Amino acid sequence: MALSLGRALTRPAALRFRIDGRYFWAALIVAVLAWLTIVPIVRLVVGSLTDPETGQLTLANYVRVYSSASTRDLFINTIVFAIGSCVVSFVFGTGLAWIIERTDTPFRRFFYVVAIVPIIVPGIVTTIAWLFLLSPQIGWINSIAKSAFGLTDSPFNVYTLPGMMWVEGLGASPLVFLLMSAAFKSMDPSLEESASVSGANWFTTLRKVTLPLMLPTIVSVMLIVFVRVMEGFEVPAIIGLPGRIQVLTSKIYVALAKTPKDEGTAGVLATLFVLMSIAGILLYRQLIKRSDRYATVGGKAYRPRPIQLGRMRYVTFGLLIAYTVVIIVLPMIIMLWMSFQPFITPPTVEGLGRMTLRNYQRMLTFPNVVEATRNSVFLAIGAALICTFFAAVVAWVALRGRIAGKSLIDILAFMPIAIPGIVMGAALLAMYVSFPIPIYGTIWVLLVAYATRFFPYGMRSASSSLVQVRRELEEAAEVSGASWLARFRCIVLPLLRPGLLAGGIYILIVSMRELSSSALLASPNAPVLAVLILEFQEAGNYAAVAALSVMLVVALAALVSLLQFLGAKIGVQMQ
Amino acid sequence: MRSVIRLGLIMACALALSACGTASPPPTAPTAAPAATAAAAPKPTAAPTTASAAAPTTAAAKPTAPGAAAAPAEDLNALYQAAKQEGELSFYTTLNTNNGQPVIEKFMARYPGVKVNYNRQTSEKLEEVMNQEAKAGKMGWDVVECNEDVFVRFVASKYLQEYAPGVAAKYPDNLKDPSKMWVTDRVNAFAPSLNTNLVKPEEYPKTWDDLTKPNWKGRIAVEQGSVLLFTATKAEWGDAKALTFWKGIAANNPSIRSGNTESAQLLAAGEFPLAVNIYTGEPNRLALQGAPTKVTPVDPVFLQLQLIGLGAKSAHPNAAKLFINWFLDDEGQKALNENGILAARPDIFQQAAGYLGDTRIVPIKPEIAEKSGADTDEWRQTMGID
Repeated sequence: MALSLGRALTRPAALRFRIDGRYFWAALIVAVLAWLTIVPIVRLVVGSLTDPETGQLTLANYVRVYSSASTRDLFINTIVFAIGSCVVSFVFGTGLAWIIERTDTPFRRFFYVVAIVPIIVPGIVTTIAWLFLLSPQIGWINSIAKSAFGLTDSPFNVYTLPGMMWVEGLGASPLVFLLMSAAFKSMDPSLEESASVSGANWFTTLRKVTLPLMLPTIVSVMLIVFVRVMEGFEVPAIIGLPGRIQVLTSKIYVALAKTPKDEGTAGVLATLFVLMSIAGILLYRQLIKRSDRYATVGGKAYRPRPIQLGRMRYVTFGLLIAYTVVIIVLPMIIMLWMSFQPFITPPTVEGLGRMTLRNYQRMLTFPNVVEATRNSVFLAIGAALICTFFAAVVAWVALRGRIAGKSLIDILAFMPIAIPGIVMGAALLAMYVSFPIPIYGTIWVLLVAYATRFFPYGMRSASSSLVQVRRELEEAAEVSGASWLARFRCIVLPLLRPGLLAGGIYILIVSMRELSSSALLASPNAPVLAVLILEFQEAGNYAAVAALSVMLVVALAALVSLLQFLGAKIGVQMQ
Repeated sequence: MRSVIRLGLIMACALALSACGTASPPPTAPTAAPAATAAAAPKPTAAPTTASAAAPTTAAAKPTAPGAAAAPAEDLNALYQAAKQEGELSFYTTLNTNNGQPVIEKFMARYPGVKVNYNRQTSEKLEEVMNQEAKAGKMGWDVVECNEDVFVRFVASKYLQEYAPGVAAKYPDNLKDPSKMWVTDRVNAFAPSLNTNLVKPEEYPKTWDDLTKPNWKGRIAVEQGSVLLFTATKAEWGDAKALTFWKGIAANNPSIRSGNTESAQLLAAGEFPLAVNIYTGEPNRLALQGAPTKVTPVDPVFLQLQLIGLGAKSAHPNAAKLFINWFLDDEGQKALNENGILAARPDIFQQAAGYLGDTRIVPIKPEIAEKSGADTDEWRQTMGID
């Protein structure tokens, strides 16, 4: 999409438009965005304003939902849950990114792979793995702690608000890691160097210089995590419900499980999420108004030099090992164990006798598994390319474009993330089942759906990277007579590369396991891996889902290592 | 731009390499292929005699033989010949692929040249898809099969047409619709299931009421979505007694869970000793695989019916009818049993339902199931999860 757009831009005369090409393309972008995001949201809002019985417009749904005491309690729970998860993901994601990108900790490159591989594991597997680690009844960590310290009670209980924050926050930390490490990568370290020359130690430098410079990225990524936690279903259903901790999505779930469906309540709550995400974007734009404060990528050449931690680097190395063992390896062991069991159980001695390869065999002989893999790979690449390149253009227009209403573009591009997956899936189904271009029932409808669902990720990563880039480079090129396209192609895109790559990697991986819209839109003619995951999940065959996860993790680890290898090669060429 | 393209290429290449050995992602949409091969496969040897062909094709509009004694009137062979010309049918179902695919493959082996396009969804999603497709005027599917509580709404929305397959004569009246919209093809049973490592045999429940006793406090799990069983107990025992029972369950501080299959898995894993209201199929299947799960049938075992019917706008009515007949007859029903599903036809049900013992069985009537939607709020309040 971005490529054809670029080609067209080089010959604006051929279009026979007498208007400035920039406005034309800005209008086109707004139109496409509006189609992708406004249509589902209008549907949502109309649903929230409709009386389910009579079909007439009414405010009754809002009155009912907002006047109920339970809504207030759930709202508070939701906010606490979301903030807590943000804190967990921020601490782990940023900590890892800083250690890996900005310090001289030994073997840090290896941990890059470790940090992002968990993204591919379906949420259900991770969540159940944590149940098996932290449940008071059957949790592995609990039973080890009990026998080691002679405790009678389990020290950890996953069925609590902190338990939910832990599992959800860890789920989001690879995303934080990816975007933060991209930001660290493209930051000019001269300010850090000045700080250390002036006698500041590494911690003061981190606190007073590095993190403040990262503010746009931090706010961007926290916004994503916050909204995502707010609309997520898995952890509230598997951990929250047994712990009797209800959040707003639990209420949406119940509303949609009723017959007839209570789309009013679901619509009111989803609208609330959308409003909160709009507020978040406005806050972000306010923050970056004086964006030059954060722009460190300028005309001067620089080479990021890692911070010399001295002896501290063994501490950071220890932290990386601890993170890997506790946060990655333990759940992965559970996953690996489950994948060899006929049914899921926590690891036990008697389970050893039941070990079987059947799950793998079943996964590999499943009808259409090859076709589904091929389709998923195609969709993942397609969604990642569309979302990152289109997002780069849109982010540029939203930040640098000389047009009015730029914040509207930003808002439009972010809103889809706030709509809960099942609500979005239904909205997309309604949109495309009768779409004049017959894409329904083909793989193309999924590509559109994925692009809609994941565009906000591309947009946030492109936008926060762009804030880091000084305008002076573009201005210099403009003065020298370079066209918009030349400037975008030769200056903006290369400088955004780390951010775009991070966003692209994330979208690529999550597209492989996107469940909510895949379930409704995938047709038997165009199977995808996500539907396979759902099939096994809904058939209760979690062991098979675990087997698939193991295979995906292995494939992804190989892929990321390869990418890193190739990336290093390109780096050499460019120097 | 060059570096950008290069980046894209790297991403693409690397992914292609990782694609489980597949050489390269296909740039073309693979949509039309199955239909095309299916259309090419069947080559009807000769045109069926006009007389026998006429009966099945026009039957779509009106059932030829009214009344239950339709069995001999339906000529399966003629149906097959007509079905082969249609070449395929589309089957919308909640039967999951694990269990359903082998059954469908048996049908396709029995009737070569009739391909089943299998669209499998959970009931909520199936309803969403069918409603949206109907709105868009795309009701080309031929056969639908799903749980009664949703199926009755399909009947109300006029998604189905009258069809009394000949084989329906082998089904008792309470398993088929007097107005010929459906026949019950399989069932899900509701009975308590427990973990044998965590429950001693002398504690096994003998009645539903046993579960309200204090020895179960903090040891039971309740599936939040089973409103149907709540409604069924109200119909069976009367509102007052049913409410007392469920309040007794709530007083035992159950662990509230979401999802039948997930609850069964966690029961096997030992997360809780007993599940009150989940389907028995999954714990039974797990037990057969060596899990410490056991179904303890108590009086009565409630049965949720799964219904099958013919689409109102069926594009392949003969193939659809052939499929429905086969599904409800010996081969289809036995194939269901073999795949761990309880087939509905009483003689075949008996063969698979041994683990339910001779406990009294209460099939939940669709007109009762219809009311379960309205019971959601009361159910959640009773369980204290609102």
